[in-house]
Amino acid sequence: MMTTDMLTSPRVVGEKAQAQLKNFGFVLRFLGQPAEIPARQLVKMMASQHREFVEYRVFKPWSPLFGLLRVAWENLTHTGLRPEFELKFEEAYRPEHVK
Amino acid sequence: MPTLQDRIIIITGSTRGFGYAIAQACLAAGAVVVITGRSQEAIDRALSGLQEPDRTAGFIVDVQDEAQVHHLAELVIQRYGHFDNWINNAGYSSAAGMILDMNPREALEMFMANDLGALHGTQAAMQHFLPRQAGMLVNIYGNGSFLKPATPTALYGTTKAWLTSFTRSLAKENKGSGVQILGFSPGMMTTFWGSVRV
Repeated sequence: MMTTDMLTSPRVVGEKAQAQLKNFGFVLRFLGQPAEIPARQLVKMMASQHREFVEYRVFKPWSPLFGLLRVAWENLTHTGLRPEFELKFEEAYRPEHVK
Repeated sequence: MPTLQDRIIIITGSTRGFGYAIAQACLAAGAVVVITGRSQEAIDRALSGLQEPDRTAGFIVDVQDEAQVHHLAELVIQRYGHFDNWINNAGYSSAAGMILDMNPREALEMFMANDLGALHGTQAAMQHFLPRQAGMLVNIYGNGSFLKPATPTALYGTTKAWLTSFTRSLAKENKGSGVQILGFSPGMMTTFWGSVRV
């Protein structure tokens, strides 16, 4: 399981990002959802929308809470999926002319 | 299930990930779907997976190349006579990393795909939509679109903030044109290769 935006190359650059992504798997589990769900929402919007300009967010303010509850339920019932992935770590970029 | 019966829908960057999921959902709603990718192999694999040869077509397009994007619009019009929806989905996040740790070249490359690619797609689509006073353009937002910090993918988030400003300006400039514009933020998505049961 990986974010769709990072399909091309799940790279992590620098120590700070590496530290931040220590719990990436858990964040993915409670905030992420299969791409099919927002895709269906987009189709619904395209089929029913009549206004000239609309911005729509799938992520709602209550989504993290619902995500945590879902993960808790999945852990209790052994029904969830735990992401298995390998992030590639790289040294931070330093410009060549900087000593 | 909402219907998009017989609508011709172009989705850039749709051989996998969210674009592919959109293609599946559009087909399920009755649309005719045009997918694009950067290699014939990826397109063939995606078309094979969609299993709707009569209602799908695929073309090699690199959205960073203006000529290729306009050529895509021409090819679709040649084949179907028109198109109804254009979804600027192609884009990616090169890596997670703090702004000061990232190679500036990665910012440029993401801008070329995520933003310039959307500009090319928008111009190609609007050129077709405006004379017809119909059609819908969709821009896919992402983390950073609403100007909240996007750490640790800040450079990617910046390209999505650009896209939001671009989309809002485009909507203002084309108010009353009959063309619909949708900025769609799908939230964090996952693809389920490499998962195990808890």
